[in-house]
Amino acid sequence: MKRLLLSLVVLSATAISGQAVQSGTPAEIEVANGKKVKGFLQSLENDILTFHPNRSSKEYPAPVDKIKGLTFFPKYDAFAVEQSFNTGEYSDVIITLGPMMKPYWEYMAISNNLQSVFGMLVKSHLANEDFDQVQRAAEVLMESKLPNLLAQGQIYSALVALSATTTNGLVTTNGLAMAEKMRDEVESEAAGLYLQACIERAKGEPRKAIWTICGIISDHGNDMDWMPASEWLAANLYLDDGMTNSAANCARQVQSIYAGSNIAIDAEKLRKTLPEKAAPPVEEEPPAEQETEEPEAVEPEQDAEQDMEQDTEQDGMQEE
Amino acid sequence: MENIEKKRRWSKWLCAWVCSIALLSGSFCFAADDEPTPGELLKKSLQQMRVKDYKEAVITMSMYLDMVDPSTSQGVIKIAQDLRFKMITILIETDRLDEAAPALQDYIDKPLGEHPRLARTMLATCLYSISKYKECVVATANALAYNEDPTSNAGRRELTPDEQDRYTKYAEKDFELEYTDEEVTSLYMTMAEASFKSEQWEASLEPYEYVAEHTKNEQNKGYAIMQMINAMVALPAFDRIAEWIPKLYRTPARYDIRVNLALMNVAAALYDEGDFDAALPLYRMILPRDELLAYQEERLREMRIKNAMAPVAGMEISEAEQILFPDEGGQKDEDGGDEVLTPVEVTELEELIETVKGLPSYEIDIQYRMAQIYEEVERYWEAAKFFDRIHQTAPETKMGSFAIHQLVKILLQKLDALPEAEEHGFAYMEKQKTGLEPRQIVYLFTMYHQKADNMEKVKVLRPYLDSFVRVQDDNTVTNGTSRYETIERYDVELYYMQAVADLVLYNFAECATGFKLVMDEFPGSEQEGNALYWYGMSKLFLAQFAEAFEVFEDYGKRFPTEPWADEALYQGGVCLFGLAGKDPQPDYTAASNRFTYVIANYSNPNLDESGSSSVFPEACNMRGDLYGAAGQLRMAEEDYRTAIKHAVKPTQATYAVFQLAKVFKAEGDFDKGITLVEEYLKQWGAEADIAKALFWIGKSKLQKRALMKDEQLADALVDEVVADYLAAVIEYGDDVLQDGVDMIIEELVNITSLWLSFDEQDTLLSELKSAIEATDSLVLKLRLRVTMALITKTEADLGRRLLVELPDFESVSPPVLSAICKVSIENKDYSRAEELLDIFKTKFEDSDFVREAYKLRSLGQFAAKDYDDALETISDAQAQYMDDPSMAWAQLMMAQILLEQGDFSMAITNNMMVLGVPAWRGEPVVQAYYQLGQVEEQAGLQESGEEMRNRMAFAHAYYQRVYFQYKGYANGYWSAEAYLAAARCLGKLDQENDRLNTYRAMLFDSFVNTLPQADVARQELGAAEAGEIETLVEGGVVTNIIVAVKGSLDETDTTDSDESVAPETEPSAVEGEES
Repeated sequence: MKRLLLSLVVLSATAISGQAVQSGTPAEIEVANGKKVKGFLQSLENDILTFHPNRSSKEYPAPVDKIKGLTFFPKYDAFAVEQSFNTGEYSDVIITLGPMMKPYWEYMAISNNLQSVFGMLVKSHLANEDFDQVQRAAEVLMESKLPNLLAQGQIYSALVALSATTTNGLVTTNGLAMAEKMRDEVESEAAGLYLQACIERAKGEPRKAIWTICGIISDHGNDMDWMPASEWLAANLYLDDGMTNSAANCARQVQSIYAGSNIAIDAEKLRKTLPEKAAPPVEEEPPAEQETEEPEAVEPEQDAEQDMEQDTEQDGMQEE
Repeated sequence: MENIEKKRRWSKWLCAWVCSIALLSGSFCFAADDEPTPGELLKKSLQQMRVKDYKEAVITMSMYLDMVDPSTSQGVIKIAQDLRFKMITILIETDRLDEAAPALQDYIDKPLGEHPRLARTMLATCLYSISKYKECVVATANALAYNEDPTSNAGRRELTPDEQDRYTKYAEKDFELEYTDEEVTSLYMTMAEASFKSEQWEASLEPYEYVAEHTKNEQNKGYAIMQMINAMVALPAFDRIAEWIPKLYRTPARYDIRVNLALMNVAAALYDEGDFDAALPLYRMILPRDELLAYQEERLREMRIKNAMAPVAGMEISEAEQILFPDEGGQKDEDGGDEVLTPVEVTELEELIETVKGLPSYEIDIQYRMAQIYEEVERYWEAAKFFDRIHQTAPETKMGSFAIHQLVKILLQKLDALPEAEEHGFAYMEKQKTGLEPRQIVYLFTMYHQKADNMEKVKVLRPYLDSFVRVQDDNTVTNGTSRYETIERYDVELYYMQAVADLVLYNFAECATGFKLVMDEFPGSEQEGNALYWYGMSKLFLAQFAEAFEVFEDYGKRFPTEPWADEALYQGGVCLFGLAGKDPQPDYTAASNRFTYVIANYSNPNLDESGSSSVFPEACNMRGDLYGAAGQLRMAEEDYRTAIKHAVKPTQATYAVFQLAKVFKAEGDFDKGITLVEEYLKQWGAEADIAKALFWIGKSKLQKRALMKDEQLADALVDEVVADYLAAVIEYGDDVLQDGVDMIIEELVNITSLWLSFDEQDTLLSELKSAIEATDSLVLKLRLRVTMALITKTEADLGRRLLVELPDFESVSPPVLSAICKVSIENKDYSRAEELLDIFKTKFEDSDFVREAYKLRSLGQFAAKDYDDALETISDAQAQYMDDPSMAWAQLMMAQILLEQGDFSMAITNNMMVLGVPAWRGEPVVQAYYQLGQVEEQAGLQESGEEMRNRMAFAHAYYQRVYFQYKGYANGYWSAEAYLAAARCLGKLDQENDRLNTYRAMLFDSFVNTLPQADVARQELGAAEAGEIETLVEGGVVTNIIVAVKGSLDETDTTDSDESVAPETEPSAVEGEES
């Protein structure tokens, strides 16, 4: 650490004379104690960030655990990108951010000012089912020492694994095994549950998956990292289970609660594909054979049911 | 630079001020000695202020200000304003805000004040603090307006002409800096809060919005949004709330106690309004009380340390710690007394914490609300999760008990998730044995299974029900009913449902016990009448007609106006009918009278009037049957037609129509039958038993065919019926309960064998095959396969395949079941006999295919020597099918059972009965003769002397008749067996030569000499003679060996039976026997 700081001080003192154009990715490096230095990033390998200080061709290695964060200086219309993302225009996001992020991509395992932009790019790839790009991002993030970035990488990787299906549309055994391994490794409980639900969905068990998602909703209701995705998944799971009304209502709530986000737009798109609220199912008539003998026996209970419902309500929530 | 300039100005004013004091002191020195001069007052007030005698300082300052008020001197005015500002500061610091506010207004009104902005802010704060909210709103607006444009003099009252003269000559100069962004935001917050406090909801929105959009403090942002939502709720303006909820959701405002408290109120208001989408995120944001308190207590701790106070109020402080927390207990007052001055923010937070501590635990209520919201918006899994969580968290509480009820209800009724419902519900019922809730859970399960017609599952609940205890521990009264009474009502209902389940499952003995339990355990209950009626019905189903009749009569007396009164009266008639049927000489007069009584008393069956009763057509049908049986066909027709006309249910019409069709068929009036069935179809449409109707129409057409002379027309008619039948099978054959389809199949097979050419049969088979391939319905596939098998006479093969293929018999129709029964009989496999017969009894009660199931069951019971049950099964079968051609086995088996039981007389009688039924001619007769021989032989073995000889002679005669007269039946089986039995009898009669002759005759008999039984003859005769006979047979020699026994049938022709049904003629030699 001392050596690094010393080198930074020396650098700031000596970096006077101008130089020709330097190669690498321009960035400001902030070390753990708050000191900052501008330079050109060369590589990130084996947890060592190598950079050229400004106006110097000398290479300096910096262990990533000593780096607080990086600041990059890309030129792009951040507002337009965010708007594209939040309106679900994922292709536009990719068109803008894809080339822009190229020089920064490999440094995303370190905390930096493009983290959220990178997140938008990966989510856009995921939405467009470009799983190669998602896997590439996942591999970078999984190198991170930061728990939140690591978890993101693990989830992305698991989602890619679950996307690999056999000819009959089922998730491959290897894919499942990989996703389950990731689930076991994820530290965040909410993230683990989310992944578990994705695995159950891939196995064709929507009911199990919803129940798992309900665990996030009930126990991590204010976890803004996982709640939007979980509720959005819940809407899709209701649809998988053929509960169209529930899916539509869930999507409507996602749209309302997360208004202004890409998930809200996705939810709106889903709602548009669903039919208007379905009529309640018509009660089936009892078979004619029974009608002649038994239905009368059942009638009194039906009355009683109503009475008892009333009792139940009175007994339970009357105070409310 | 601005500061320097300001300091310069300040120095200038200070000089002027000191000079003024000197001047004023001088001028007042000459005044009266007892009245101080303004200068003295000024000096004195400053002195008092210096020694912190604020109270006196304020008095002195006021006196000074009053004294110099008329002055027009710029210097005096300036000094007065400065002093006024000092006085205001003292007033505020000593919490005399109601005095500070007018002083501030004076300061603002007068010129040359140095702190016009600050004064306006202070005025707003003062007014807010003394709850003058409306004035506060104006003051904040003025402060903001002045800040924007000081020349507006916003907030200054209108000057009098005199004041204008005095003040306008002094140019105001703006020395003060403009408000910072934070100060402006703070003013907006004050304005918003004041507007809110004065219930100016609409007016509060704009300043709150300003705060929400400009404050850098996330807590304040959340609070402002929260207050906006509160104001919108109060307005009310729910439509505007939705926009702000997501914004609030993204702030950390939930850690603010005020926000939390407000969230609860707003969320509740939104819930009541039905705005669930808005209420849900708010409920989510509300933190659990403990979490909130922990967060705020930590914040308070930090706040106290920051204010040099001990981390926790009231903690003991050591001397050393005194250095760290010098102001423990708050700052000492100016006099160093005991009065403490705790910072406002600390006090406020402490009060808020106490408020939260004083709140009852609210987490469960919040979760309950969320569960309700999820249920309302049909997110049932989430609702289930929250109800589960509530129950897990607080199972013993009322809310916890209610939550498990809701959980099971949602799982069953909304999600159809029976396994999950059972998991939660059963676990609860295992533990909870008292109270209302476990009964409600059983009730939910019962309703669920009833709806699914799964009565076996209803019975699974019985042990839980029996384990519940009724305890008089809670007499809470709701709507006039105590909780104990409600529990009892549930028990009545649940036990009643248990009995109903038994009824539907045909467990009549159990259901009778169940209904009786309801009557005995809960006398006077709401279900007593129903239980009594169904108790009677159970007895009726058990064929306990006398007891059932008593019950129905009892019901009529005790519940004459209850819903079942008419039914009880009618069912009483059915009991009388049953009772009469048990008599060997049945007299149905009583039953007929009862039906006539029912018809007369419920003869106003205008469907639009309340007087109509469904028993009317039922009674007509019953009386019609009685008339029909008595040969009074026109009267029967009249009753059936009445029943058809006034049928309330399709089944009533269906019964009458097909009974009447039978009448027409018997009379040969096929057109009438066709018309009748077609009208029935027209009247009842889809509700009619279409398949059965089509069957009848087809059958009637075929009957007409016999009268046709034109063969081409007759063939065309057959083709038409075959096509109609095939279409009907395909159309309705996917419903396993459509017995009309099975009737069609049987008829179709008959038509095929009688009237279709081989080519036509192939075409039909090909069509059946195509239909099998075209359908996904397993029921239909099986029906079509069995039709093909019946046509090609490969029914047994199919049965064998199906036994392997079918995991259960759920989707299997009667013809298929029948094929399976046949194979089982062939294989002597009786393992599923009971199950198969039960399927018929429960699902296909009226199906004629049940005959094979009866046969299989009887054979099984016979093989197991379970003779009494076998006799009962046979009796049931005979009661249904009497002397149907296919039912000879029943009579024969009954005779065999009687033989096994040693009742020779009855055995003979029953065997003789076979001989008397024309429909049983053929093999049944052969078997009957053989069995008669067996009876005589067995009886003879138990006798001795002449009696034995007589019996053996009779036996021999019967056996001899079999092998003489009925050689070819069953491929010679009976004949072969008869040879051996006859030889056996001759042995007993010591007629050795005849015995051996019998064996010789057997070996000459080409019908039997290749059968395994012939080996016995060969053994008895020896290899040499047997070989010799074989050579003779091969050479074409036949024998005319006749064995005559004294006392044989042709001589005596008597039996033990009263009914002497001996063979009518001497057994004649079968062709080929005589050479």
